[in-house]
Amino acid sequence: MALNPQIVALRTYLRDTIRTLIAAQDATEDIEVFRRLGHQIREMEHRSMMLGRLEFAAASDALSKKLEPIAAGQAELDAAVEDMQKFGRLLQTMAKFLGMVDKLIDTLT
Amino acid sequence: MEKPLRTCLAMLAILPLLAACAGNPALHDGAAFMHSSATKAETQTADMFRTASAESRAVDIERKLMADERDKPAIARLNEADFPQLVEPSTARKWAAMFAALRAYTGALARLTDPDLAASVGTGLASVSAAVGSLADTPAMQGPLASLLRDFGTAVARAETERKALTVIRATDPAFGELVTGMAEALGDGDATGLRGTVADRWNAAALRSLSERYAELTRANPSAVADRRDLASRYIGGLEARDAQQAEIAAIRARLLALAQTHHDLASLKQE
Repeated sequence: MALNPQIVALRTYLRDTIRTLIAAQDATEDIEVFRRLGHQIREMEHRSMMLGRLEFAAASDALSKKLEPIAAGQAELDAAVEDMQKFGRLLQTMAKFLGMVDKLIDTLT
Repeated sequence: MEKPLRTCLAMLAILPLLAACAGNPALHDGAAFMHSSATKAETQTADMFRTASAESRAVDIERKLMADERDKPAIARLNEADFPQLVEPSTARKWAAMFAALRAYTGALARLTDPDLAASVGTGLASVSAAVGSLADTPAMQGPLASLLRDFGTAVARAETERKALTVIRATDPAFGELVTGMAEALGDGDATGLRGTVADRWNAAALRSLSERYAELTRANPSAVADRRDLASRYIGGLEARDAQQAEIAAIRARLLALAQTHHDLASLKQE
């Protein structure tokens, strides 16, 4: 899910506006203006957060669709580990078998 | 030719082959590092998501209280929509799946390049040679020959596991890099981008600013309420520290992911020894 560029642009606009409002709130000496700006900043930040949340969800969704090559690589590696383990076990089994044959020959001769 | 001499010559012939299959410790070390990094980043990220969402909801509680104080609605209601989770559960699950894939892949890589795996083949080969027995011409040569065969088997197996590991690493590297650097990018670089930017805004434009406003209102209404004002100032400082800690945590996860991508890419560039 690729995020709509207009949403990204809207978020950038909101963040720029928040910065302007913060600067205005820091500069004012009028308590009513201070309160109104505080309310505006909170409401804008809340909406900016909602867009940021959406942006992160969209990026995560797109990334989660790129796991196939990693899973395929893992399957190949697991198969190679298993092959090597099987080969090691085969050699051990052969050694045991040869030992048994030797014992049998000793018994017979 | 005398039998002991023949055995010695056979052993000497194997030595150059052993040297040629000496193995590359960087491969297993790199794989083990990546597996450890992926596992740590997974835990760090899950914790960070939980903390960020909880702190974000605390900001929304304050927003709700201040809005109701200001607007004085006839009936003040609580709605789920007023308290969204910063990282949605479905998004957190996708990250868990991505980390699970990275952990499984790097774990398989570490297992394949583990020297013990190749050693098990060498030990098996030495056992077979001991069972055959007749390979060594004299009892005195049996020990050294078994040892040499074990080393030889280990070296050959190691060369094969490393060849396979490098083949997979090279084939996977572009996708691995794209995924892991994409995850780092989604977390954000600095206060202005990605999840880190959103978290920074929550603190700077909402949580800390609300505390500052509470302080301004209290000082205006009751300048002598020093204890309450002190408490607000302390909470403000606590907020600054929590913000910085959270930013540092996100930066650390991002750095870990980038190191993971770089290590994988470095391994893909290795030449088999």
